[in-house]
Amino acid sequence: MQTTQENQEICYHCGDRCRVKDTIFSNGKAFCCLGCSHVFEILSSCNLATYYDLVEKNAVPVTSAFDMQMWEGVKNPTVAREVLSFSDGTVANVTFLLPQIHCSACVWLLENLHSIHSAIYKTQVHFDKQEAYITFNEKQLSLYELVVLLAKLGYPPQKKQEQNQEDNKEHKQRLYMRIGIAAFCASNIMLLQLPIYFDIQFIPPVLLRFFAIVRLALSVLLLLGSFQEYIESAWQGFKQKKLSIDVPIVIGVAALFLQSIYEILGHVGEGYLDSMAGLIFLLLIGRLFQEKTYRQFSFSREYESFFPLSALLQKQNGYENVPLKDVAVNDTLYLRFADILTCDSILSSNSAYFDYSFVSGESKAIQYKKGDYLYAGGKLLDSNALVQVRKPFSAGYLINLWRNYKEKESTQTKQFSRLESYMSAIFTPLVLMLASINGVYWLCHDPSKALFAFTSILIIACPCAFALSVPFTTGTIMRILAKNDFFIKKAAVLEKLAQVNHIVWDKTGTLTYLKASYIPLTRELTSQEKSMIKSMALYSNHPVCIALRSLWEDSSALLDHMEEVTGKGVIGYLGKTQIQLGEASWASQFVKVKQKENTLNTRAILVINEEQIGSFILEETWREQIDSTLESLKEKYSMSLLSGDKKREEITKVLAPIFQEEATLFSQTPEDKQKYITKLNKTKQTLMIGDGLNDTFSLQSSYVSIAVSDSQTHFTPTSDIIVQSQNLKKLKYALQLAKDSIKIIKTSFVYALIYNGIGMYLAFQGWVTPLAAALFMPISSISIVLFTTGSSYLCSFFYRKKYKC
Amino acid sequence: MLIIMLLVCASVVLALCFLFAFLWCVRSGQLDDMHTPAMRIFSDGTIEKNTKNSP
Repeated sequence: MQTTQENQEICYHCGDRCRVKDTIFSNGKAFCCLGCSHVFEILSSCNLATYYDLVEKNAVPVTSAFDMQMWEGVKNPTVAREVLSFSDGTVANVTFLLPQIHCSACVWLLENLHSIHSAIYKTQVHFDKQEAYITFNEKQLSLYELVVLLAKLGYPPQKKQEQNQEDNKEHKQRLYMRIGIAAFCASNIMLLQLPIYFDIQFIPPVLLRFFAIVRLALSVLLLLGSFQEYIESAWQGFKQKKLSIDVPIVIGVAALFLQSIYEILGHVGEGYLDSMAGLIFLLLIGRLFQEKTYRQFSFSREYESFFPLSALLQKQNGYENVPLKDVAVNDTLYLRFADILTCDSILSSNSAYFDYSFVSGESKAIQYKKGDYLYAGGKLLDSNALVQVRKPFSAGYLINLWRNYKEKESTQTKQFSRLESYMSAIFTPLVLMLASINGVYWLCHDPSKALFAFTSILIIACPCAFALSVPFTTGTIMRILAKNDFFIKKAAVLEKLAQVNHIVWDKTGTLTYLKASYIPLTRELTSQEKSMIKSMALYSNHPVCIALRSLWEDSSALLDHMEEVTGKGVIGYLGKTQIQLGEASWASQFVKVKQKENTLNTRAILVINEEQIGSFILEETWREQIDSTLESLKEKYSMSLLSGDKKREEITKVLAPIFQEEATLFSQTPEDKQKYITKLNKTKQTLMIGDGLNDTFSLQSSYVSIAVSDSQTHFTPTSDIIVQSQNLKKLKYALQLAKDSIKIIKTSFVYALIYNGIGMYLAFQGWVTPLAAALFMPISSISIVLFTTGSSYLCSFFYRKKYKC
Repeated sequence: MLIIMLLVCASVVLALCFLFAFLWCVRSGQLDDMHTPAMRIFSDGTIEKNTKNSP
């Protein structure tokens, strides 16, 4: 492609090939750009050149297309205060989300920031969360300068969400501690119970007594240290007349414990403390199994993450950054390209294009004229605009919708798993009844056996099967789905997913995505030109460029020089070729722009060597394989489609074979979508699939919600499940697995019933020795765990083959 | 038989010490991040070596 290719150097820092003209040589090494050579100089001057020995793939190339606008606001100390987690004027702490962290070299580099700048005291990286916790001297290095430093090194920070992290940590710590205590007690109790299983006659009674006392003491420690949660939950459930699975568990454990106390202190036997301890330990492990969190996806985002940190006000004497809450009515806001309008306002500039994809989900440039009312949430597509605030920040209508939703969520009580509650509702009274019958029977026939007859029923009728099958099944299935990039937030969601019978689809962004295509005016493009355009598309973050990146397979060329006029266009030079790509209004300064039709879709004009060659349009395109996915789902699920778009002929034609006429609704506002779903919820269990801020409200009102995400750093609305867009075709597989999980759980319940039935029959006959009763429970627990986990994997293999995932 | 009882007591006490150590470790946050410490094996020792060897 290029004659000079053999002479091109490889950049020592990022591994890209270097342009012949711009190769920088320093210390005997070649660099592709000033950025990379700069990072190398920083690293070697601080004796950190070991970085290059450690980095696995190439280092993050330092690009200049980084949006610093988001962080401009922290130049204002009040805004900076809000971002910092701590500051006493000198020493400050801040936590940044750095999505560019991808390997151990990144961790090493960031934790050695103190060698790069003396004002930084310490950095701690949390790899799974991709966060860096930095302690620095605020007087010597301002927060803004810190952000710039990180950006220069290739780690532009993003705003970090705080909310749920703290309780999560507490909760995890408590679970670990409980498991630790349970493991300690269970293993020691079992060891001390072991001699009993051998010939008991040869053990001196004094030793037996001693072992028994130690076991009792350990059991008390176990109950106090690991079991309180279950006791509290059972008590709560009991008070509210809701019998959750915790009630029979507590009854079973109580029966074991009390029976053991009676036997040990009354010198009648050796108790069942090992079974009890083993059960509690397994229960806690089941809970751990179920609570795995998946990194890189934060499941809950407050609305604040969509808005910038501050607003730029235009005052008499210049501009001023203020925190959003200080923006008042009638203030004039100065917006720059890609800024998001934070408050309802009226446009003061003559005209401006805004993109309301945040609100409507449709990424279209809408032109507004002076005096038009603008809602909060629009993204500016011009280079700048002035607006006059009409409603202060907290009164925007998006936020009102969000707030209404949040209030509803907090009043919903904690949901127990339906199956579990169903089982426990009949289980507990049934077992208590049987136990009493047995006890009374033996009271009449052989009083010495009566008490044991009563408690043995309670012991054998082990709720452990019911208690263990749900966490182990759901835990395994969730793990399997996560490997397929299908992330489920909580185990309860899996059960709800199995009950879904109606799917609601959002159109834009879910079923479709924005695809660029080239419309030639004079001719087609050569391969070299395509490579050049691809580089330019990678360089700029304009929506047109983002869509262009996936248009061609050609690799990107290395241009001699590139320039971007924000919001308007990009220019690239390579050898004798000059390419300009941008808006019609901007391109008309180079060339007389001819546009075929005045379609709304034309987004960028392509000019090569001062001649208009063609243009690009962005079109909504259906995602690949979406038709087969929809077809396969149509058989079992009723479906409907909601869209903020107007009804168009070409769309209804495509949708007709899949969706029914009355199930496709167009021109929907976020409130319309929410109302539709709420109405559907009365008769069906809905699954809503969507993306974008506007869907958030309807996503939360449906029974189960899925958010389709294109990248990990892109904002993720609150939903029950997150799917990468390319994995949407696995939806059938996931729904099937969810259904299977219910089948597996039900089967294990049946197995448990049979198992318990046999055991209880034996107990009724009076054939159960204490030893047998003691063994019964662990065998049942372990077999349930093996069965549920094994069947889950079996099902996943089977269906993976069937649906070819 | 006294000796067995003494031994059992001693081992339980020892095991309790380990339990307390574990609980203290969880409390102080050492188990919050299981992944990143594995990446921190490249400590300062390596840097000094490098400066001695580089020309």
